[in-house]
Amino acid sequence: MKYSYNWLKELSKTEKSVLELTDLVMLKGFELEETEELKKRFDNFVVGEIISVKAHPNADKLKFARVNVGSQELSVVCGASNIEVGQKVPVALVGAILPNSKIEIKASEIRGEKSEGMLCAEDELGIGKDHEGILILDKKLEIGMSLAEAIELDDVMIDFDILPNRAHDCLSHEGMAREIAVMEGRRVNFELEKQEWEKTEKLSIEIKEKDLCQRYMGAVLNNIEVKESPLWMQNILIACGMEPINNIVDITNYVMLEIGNPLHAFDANMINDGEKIEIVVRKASKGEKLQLLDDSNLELDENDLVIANHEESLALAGIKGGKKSGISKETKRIVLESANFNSFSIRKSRQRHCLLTEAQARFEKNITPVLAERGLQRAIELFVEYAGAKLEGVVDENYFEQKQETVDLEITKVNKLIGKEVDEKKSREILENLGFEIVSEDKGKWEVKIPYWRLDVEGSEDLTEEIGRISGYENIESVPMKTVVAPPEKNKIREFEWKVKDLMTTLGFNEVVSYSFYSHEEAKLFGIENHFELKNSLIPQHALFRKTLIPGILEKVSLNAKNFDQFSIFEIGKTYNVGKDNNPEESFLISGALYSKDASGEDNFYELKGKIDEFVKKLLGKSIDFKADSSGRAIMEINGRKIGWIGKIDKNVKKFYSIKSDVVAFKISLDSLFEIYQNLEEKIYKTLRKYPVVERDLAMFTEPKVEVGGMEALIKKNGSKNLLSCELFDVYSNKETKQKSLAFHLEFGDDEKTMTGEEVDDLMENIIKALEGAKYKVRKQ
Amino acid sequence: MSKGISREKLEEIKKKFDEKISSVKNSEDLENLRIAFLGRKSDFSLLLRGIKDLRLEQKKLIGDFANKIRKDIKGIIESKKNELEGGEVDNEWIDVTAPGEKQEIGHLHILSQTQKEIEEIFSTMGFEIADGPEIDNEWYNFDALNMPKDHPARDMQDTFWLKQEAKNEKGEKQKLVARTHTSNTQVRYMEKHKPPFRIIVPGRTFRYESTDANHEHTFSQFEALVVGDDISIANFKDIAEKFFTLFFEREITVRLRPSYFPFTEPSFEFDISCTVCDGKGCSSCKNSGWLEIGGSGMVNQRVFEAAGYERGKYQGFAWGFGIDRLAMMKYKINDIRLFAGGDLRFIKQF
Repeated sequence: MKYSYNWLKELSKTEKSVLELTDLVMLKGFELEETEELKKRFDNFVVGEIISVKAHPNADKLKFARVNVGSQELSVVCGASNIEVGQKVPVALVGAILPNSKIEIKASEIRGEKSEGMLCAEDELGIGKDHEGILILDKKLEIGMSLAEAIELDDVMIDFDILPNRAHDCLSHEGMAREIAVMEGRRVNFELEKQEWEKTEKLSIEIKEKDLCQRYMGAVLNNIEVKESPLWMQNILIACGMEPINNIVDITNYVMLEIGNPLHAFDANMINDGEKIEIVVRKASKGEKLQLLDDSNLELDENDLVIANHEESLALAGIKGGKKSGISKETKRIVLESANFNSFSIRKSRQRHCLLTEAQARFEKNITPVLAERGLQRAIELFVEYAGAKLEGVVDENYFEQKQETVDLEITKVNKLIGKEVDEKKSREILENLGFEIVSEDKGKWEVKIPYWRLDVEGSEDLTEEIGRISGYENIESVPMKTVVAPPEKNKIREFEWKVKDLMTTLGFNEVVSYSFYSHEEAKLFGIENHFELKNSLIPQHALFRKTLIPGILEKVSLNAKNFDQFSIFEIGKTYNVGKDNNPEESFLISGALYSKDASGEDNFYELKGKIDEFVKKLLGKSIDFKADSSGRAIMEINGRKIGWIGKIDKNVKKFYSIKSDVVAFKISLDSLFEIYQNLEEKIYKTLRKYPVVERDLAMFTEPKVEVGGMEALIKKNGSKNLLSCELFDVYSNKETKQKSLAFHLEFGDDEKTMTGEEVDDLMENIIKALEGAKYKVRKQ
Repeated sequence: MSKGISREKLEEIKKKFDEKISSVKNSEDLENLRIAFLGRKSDFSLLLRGIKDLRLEQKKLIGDFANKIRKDIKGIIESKKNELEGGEVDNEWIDVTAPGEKQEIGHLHILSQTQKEIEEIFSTMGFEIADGPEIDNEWYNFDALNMPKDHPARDMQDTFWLKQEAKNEKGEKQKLVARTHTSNTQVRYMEKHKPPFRIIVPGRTFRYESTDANHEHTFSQFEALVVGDDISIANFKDIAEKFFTLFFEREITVRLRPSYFPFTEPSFEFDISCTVCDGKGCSSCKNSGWLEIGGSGMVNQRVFEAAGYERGKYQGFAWGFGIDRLAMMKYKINDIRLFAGGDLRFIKQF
């Protein structure tokens, strides 16, 4: 909320400068948003006197004026019709910035006439809504004096951020002033002497929804003179970020800013013809229409609370007044409303109609109905003084009962929570300054009465907070914990994740991070359905919760292809599946890609495959079985369990992401890897082989599309336990014969003895027989 | 060379030797140099013959000096010889300035590195690292944290809501949200564990917020939650100071200011002494000496109640900080969008 420094100073009796005050409040209460010295808004605005006015030679509606601003005479082109020679007017000099529009005034030529400044209307200065003509100032003002001085604007706006817990009492100058006094170790009292008003028969109030409106007070005032409010009040409203309108509206706003209870003034004659005024607080009916003060039209429903007469609604309760019963220049008699509305109901109406107003902001945070009475009393005083009003009487329809709320406080518990001994006398003083009352005490146990405005306090922790913050959090010294905890449980999956990440970077992969979302279009592109979907997504690209990491990976490939000819990347992240009864099931994946601008897709495939193979071997000590599936991907399995796939990205997909060269990508379920990892047998040392290894090579040739995997499997199957390893070391495709020739390197050995050449020959023979039996052609040596 | 030995002449010889040795490139040159300076017919040997003509006291003095020079020259020749012929490296010429065979070790994302660092610091302080779901129902994200439906506090966090509603075990329909904070894990963890405990919960969080250099709709947070019989504000300050001192590798002090979060009471805004100027005031801290870090507070008893703990039995503290923000502060990164941007020119810097 924006506060007036001058007003806070007056109410709290503080002597602090703006800077000292904001520092104090920030440390003991509220976050500072900003401060603004108001007169700075009117740098380069001065009082000028009009010396001559002529019609603009080239434009009917414009005038050409000469203005004396003290130091010089200026030529100014002006569109307003109300200027006359001898008037004092606000002049924006060249370089001035209009407070509302932030437009900078420059010397210019308007239809051929020189213009060296601007004469300003109220709204252009941000000090009112009037735009009917140039603001005419008091003739007694000195020519050339600064405008801020002329309108006596010498205040500082201080904007503190009031969070919901203190919105009950601190969205008001009284509330903030009380806080400031307490922070300085003092107490201020704002209680007014209780006033007994005469009841009036002229006003009847009927509350139909007593849950939604606990109290409705109405005062009927006549003899009203609608005019400008006094300058000091206008300036306070400006300091608080509001615009002065007229004395009636200004007073209601002023009292709201002072006490915290929003008020509303109705033109009594526009509620009812005749003397008797009827007000009903009821729910709207579905489809009911209401035109608001700002001319907007609402269509209401039964969830909206309205203030109505017997025929139609007059205002959206606690949010905004209606056009028809609004204050006009002709208003002579008013009904002043000071009421209390249910916060939830206000909140819902506000959300439905997207209406943010000062009144709504306060009611929505819940304020005590006690404030309605205080607000009414203060407003009546001001109406009498500044609008010449005469009070006909007051009606108070009240269903609210002030209960005496107390909290038990053990002073030892305060110390225990803070972790420091707080002086008992000091604690008492803080609470009492804040308006709390210690009604009884017994050996360090206090029964504390909560002041009516503190709707946030419900337990002893709240009182601890009050004592803690006012005595100063900066005075609490660090103390190591005494509580001993058992050694923490290991987060095994996290440890596994770090291990995976380390291995991947060792293999040359760079880690990327992507959003958890992608678009409907991408879901379609990848043929994936049944996503969790955002109700309020910010952009269509982020509409669905991802079920694959590939889109993010390809986006990064596309981006980086601009700067790098080759790279490999990976991401580890969650994907989100829709489970039973729409319960989310998150799975943990690793995906990545290898990009090389010049290499063939095949080369890239084998490079990535090699890396993934090595990754799994190092991580789990196991090898992956790769199997082609019908879509062209290689499915990866470990011990018959599918863990993911690797494959060359489809050209339509590449096109979607504007990728030109070949990309090979992979996806592995980290959940599956982790499960295998956890069930790994413990590693046991194997004795090193004592007997020599016998090596043999085996060469074959095949049709080009025959899989190596099949040959390898046959070799291994027929090599017996003595075949220690089988490795493909050469592949050659003959362009003429279209045949592929392959060479394997085999190693044989035995744990117990040195194998003889004959023994190995026998095994080789078995292998060759098996291969030939399967129609592979073995090259005889 | 004129006859007669003197200290100056010996020094001259040594100087000459030093000049020549530096230009020796191979063993042959070295052998020639050795003969030229130490050979029987060298200037040095000729000069030594003059010692016998010196007076007795001079003989001793010059003799010792000459010996020293000879020893030095011998030593230098010896080590030059080793350099040229011996040692572990083949003497064959190789262009050592030509680039090596290209290798690549990848880079862990700076957010990962930062998170790992945070986890390691807390592990040494006895914290467990816990996890929670990224899509959660509104009970754990809001209600259980004292943010009931239609409470103004819910407006403090702009929320991504999901179209789907889930049914819980009791068959009740519940709205789903992209978790707005890692605090959704507080009650989930407490339902399964009894105090005392210390945990941190690092993870991805979401806010319905348009992105700019300082705001992201997706970011990483880490929650800290410490609960026991007597955990106090003073304890919280201590842990916080220890953590930030270790993380920023400089002495950090912590400042608490009053604030409001529904799930803590009292609640704090949390500042640390400026990591650029150590609190003296600079442009990074807008001359205040402090940097705003995040929110924290003592766990609200209502949250304990939501987790099934008895009211008033335990006390503890909780905080939530942005990992992104800490990384930005530590590495002076000025645009939060770089993290999810995926530009390798950024990633490879760390």
